[in-house]
Amino acid sequence: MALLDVAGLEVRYGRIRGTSDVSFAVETGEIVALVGANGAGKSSTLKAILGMAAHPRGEITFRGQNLAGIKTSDVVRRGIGYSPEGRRVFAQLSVTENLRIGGYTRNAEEVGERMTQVFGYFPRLRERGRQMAGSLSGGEQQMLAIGRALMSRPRLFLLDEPSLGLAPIVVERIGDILLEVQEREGLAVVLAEQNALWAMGLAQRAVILELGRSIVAGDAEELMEDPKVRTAYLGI
Amino acid sequence: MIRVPPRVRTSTWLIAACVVALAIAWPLLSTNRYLLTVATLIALNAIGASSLHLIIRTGLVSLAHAAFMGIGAYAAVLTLMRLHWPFPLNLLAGIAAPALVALIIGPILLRLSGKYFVLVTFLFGEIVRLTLTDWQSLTGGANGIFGIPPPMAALADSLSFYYFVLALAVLCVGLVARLLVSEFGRAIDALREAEPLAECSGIPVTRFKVIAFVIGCGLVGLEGGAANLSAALRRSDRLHLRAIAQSGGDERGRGHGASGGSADRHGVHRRPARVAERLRRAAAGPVRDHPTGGDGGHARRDRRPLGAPRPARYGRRPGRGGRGMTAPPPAAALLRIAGLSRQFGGLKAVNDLSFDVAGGEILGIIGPNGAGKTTAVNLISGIIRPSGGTVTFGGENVTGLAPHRLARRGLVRTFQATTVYDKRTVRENALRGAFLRLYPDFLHSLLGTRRARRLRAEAEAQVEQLLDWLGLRDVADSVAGNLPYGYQKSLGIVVALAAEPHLILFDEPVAGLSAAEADHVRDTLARVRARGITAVVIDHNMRFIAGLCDRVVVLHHGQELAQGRPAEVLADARVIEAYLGTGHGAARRRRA
Amino acid sequence: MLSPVLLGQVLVNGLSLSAIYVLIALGFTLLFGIMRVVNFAHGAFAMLGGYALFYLYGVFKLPYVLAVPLGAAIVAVASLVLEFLVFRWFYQKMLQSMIGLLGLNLAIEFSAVLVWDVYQRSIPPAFPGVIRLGGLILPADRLMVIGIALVVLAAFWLFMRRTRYGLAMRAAAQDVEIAQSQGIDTRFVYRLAFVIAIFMAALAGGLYAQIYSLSPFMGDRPLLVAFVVVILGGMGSIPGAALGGVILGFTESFLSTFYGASVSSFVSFGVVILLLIVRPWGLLGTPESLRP
Repeated sequence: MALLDVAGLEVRYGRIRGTSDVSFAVETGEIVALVGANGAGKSSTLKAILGMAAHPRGEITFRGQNLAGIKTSDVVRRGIGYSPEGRRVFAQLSVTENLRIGGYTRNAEEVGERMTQVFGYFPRLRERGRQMAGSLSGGEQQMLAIGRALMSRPRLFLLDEPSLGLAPIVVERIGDILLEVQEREGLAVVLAEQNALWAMGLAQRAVILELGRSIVAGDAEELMEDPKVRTAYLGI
Repeated sequence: MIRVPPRVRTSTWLIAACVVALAIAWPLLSTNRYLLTVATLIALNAIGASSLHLIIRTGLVSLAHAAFMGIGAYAAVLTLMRLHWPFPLNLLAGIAAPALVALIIGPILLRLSGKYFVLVTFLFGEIVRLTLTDWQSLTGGANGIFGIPPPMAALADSLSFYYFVLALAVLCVGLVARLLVSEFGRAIDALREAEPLAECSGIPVTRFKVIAFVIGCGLVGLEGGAANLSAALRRSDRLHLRAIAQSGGDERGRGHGASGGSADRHGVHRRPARVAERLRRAAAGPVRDHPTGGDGGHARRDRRPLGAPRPARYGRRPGRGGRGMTAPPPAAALLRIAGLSRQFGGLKAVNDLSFDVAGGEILGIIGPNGAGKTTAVNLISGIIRPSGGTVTFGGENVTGLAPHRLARRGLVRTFQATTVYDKRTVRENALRGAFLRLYPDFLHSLLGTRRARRLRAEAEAQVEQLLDWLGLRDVADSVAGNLPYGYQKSLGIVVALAAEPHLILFDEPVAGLSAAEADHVRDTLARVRARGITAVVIDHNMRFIAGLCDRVVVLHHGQELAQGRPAEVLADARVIEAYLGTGHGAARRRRA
Repeated sequence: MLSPVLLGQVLVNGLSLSAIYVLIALGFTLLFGIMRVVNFAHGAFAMLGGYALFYLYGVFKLPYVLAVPLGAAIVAVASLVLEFLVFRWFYQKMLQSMIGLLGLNLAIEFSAVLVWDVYQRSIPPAFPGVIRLGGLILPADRLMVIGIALVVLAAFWLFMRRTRYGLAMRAAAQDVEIAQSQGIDTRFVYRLAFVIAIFMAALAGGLYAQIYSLSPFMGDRPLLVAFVVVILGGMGSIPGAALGGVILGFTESFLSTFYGASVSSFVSFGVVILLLIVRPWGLLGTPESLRP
């Protein structure tokens, strides 16, 4: 049984369609890249999984349980971590405080331990522990957003466009850390990205979205080399 | 002759006539003094209610209405007792004083978004109340002014006063009703429902809001002034502040005071006020700069003469090849962007952007998410002001002009999010787009003169042609919000076309559309170009842009990455990298 | 003119006013910052706190130091009924909250008129007399007000800075959606913020009623104060509310001693209106905090 199973997901914002038919599965411990152009439905899909979309249609099953109608804070408690598009760290809280919020669902001792581990992955954050999150650079904020999501020891990690607005070298570093975390903890990741090559380079499998539908899914490396996918996705 | 405007149904007129007749006739049947007092109060409240209704119809919630009534009341009484102004004059002072105050503070307050407007009016109301209470020498403070004489002998008795107030009420309610069905009123409805959309069709939103606000405040001043001229209405004959505040407070709390129904009786169409919050997100923040600092008298200069065709200043100009230059330059740029920049705090959303758009071409602007496309469009269309650089249109520097001024010069846009007025029919939507053609001026609109009607008829004919041409005839009477999304996007284009522009900025015209719908939109755009209208299309769908545009500008991180023909640009390695991202094959570590 | 005695009085006055204003403003800004409601009924809750103190201290003669917080607590807990019936429909809906709570304000005020009549009452002073410090003559009751307010404010600060729930509230004030996505139950946070906000308003109301006088419409002035302070300091900003409260308290104390009460009101309102036009996010707020 897959860790996460999404079937026929339809999300609407009023009249605007976020997704019309998205289906894919994620196994324990694997990275799945969710790629597509702007407006293809990547963020809508992630938000729907978290219960942040109003009345989505279709099925979302996590660890065998249907997530329909469950409010966001409870979905998160079941073991899903989230790093949103645009990072959205709490700008007026310190780095440490941001991490503590990430660990809100755990008790105090666990939080302390976990924070040490997260600092292990992101030593730069430890240096800036007391700094206001709003004053960090884009790359550091992205690391903080990821670290914050990791604090609750999720089984599944939803990452929305981490490379947005970041320099390539920073993006690389984040990719390396992501792999490291995944190896150590056996975390499953859904990586929603516009930067297709980078995402598909990290992932085992990839799902391609276009205009709200999942049109192709399969082994990431193969899809990346396939010229037909490039044409369909890019139109060139 | 004022024609019966079609928006007020005959049944409403009949009801209004009956009610007025009843109001005139009933004292002949009963001499109950208490009833007479109540009836007088109802008539007075009708004035206040209709004035507040006018303001609320504009989408504004003013918590200062009681204060304006107080200003009017004191102005009327003080001019009578201290300056000895004769009767009708002091009442006029009661109208003029609050109107003047509204005129002064209005343009400033009305730049604030709806919520902050409410807060500021609340505070303003308190300031006025405190001022009036503390300025003892002028107002007598909390004790009030004693011994107000009746304005004239004929009005000294309650019955004649009642008829006087009734006449005023009918006049006021009639005025407000007439305003709201006139072209001015329609424009007010448009700007309440979707302000950026309205402004980009040429409606001068701030100016119209100020006009409505000033009239509303003046009318409620009339209520305050009139209320204090009858001894019969007051327990003692003095003007007491708290009484004003209380009755104003009722209006404040419910919006229509004790006689909310009275407005309906006299035929004013009431619709619940809607503040278009969704549009706030499409537009910029709560305060938008007005480069010319309010509209004042500037409008005259660039307004077209009535009914005249748009001066053909814009469009292709002959090349200057005969002057000995090495090569004739291309047709002069209709739109020229030079060094355009915009900063938000530390972030440069758009940085030193430059490109030209020649008359008659279709230019595409593409770029990945976060590239600055939306900001660029908002800068060019006047929704936000640039931090640097210039925008030249038809040879004229239009940098930082408000959208309605750009619309007058022939530059309009469509919107990505709220494309249409979703509670209105297709035809009404299109007609709103034709504002520039059908709006005569305030007076003509108010009086419904022949000129106003002629302009309206012309606009209606033009809109019918437009709907026909774009295949929307069949759905012309459908409510826009019920149409499929693809139709709505097309309707958005129609609204822009109705303004008879030279250039249209299309903001993500195919976002959220299926492939078939996107094709339909592409065809529409091609026909738009065939009519000689220049187009700038912003989107991130490369396939769509490549199939449509003559030239393309690629944005990345707020700057121009590449420019040229679609085929060249899309083959450019840097562009591919920006879109596909970096692979960095060497460092790829993947689990087996 | 500016004798040390007078200066001492103005200072103590300013401090006690500031303390009360900060208490009121903090509650107001909490409600706006976290739930995006503009509580036009905030003054009414202060007034209820005044009546609570009147009964607990003036009528039942409980010890003052107990009556003050107990009265505020009773009002805060009892108001949860109103939270359930009224407030929770307006969370994250700023414009509707303004209209709805304006109505609630009238309802509470006139219910108070029905229950207690319009006439002003006074709460017997807790500590009449003065304390002499060096050459200064300081009114003891004002000092008490300052003391109580400081304790409450310190407790509030500790709660917000040092506890898990306080952290959750601060996060929710900045970004409610993301706070939810980290597992924070917003329903609970909202209720908690409500109780804290009303507690502080009621407490401030009791102290205010003792200094001035008690009547069903007593809350109008504190409501205005809340507005002015919060707009001055930045809507939704907690340090801003503190800063604004101090500025306003001292300005009022100074201006009304030397120039009269009306000048002081005029100046504060004028400044606030100017600020709303020129810098609507206040002294310490950020433009983002003005987002719907």
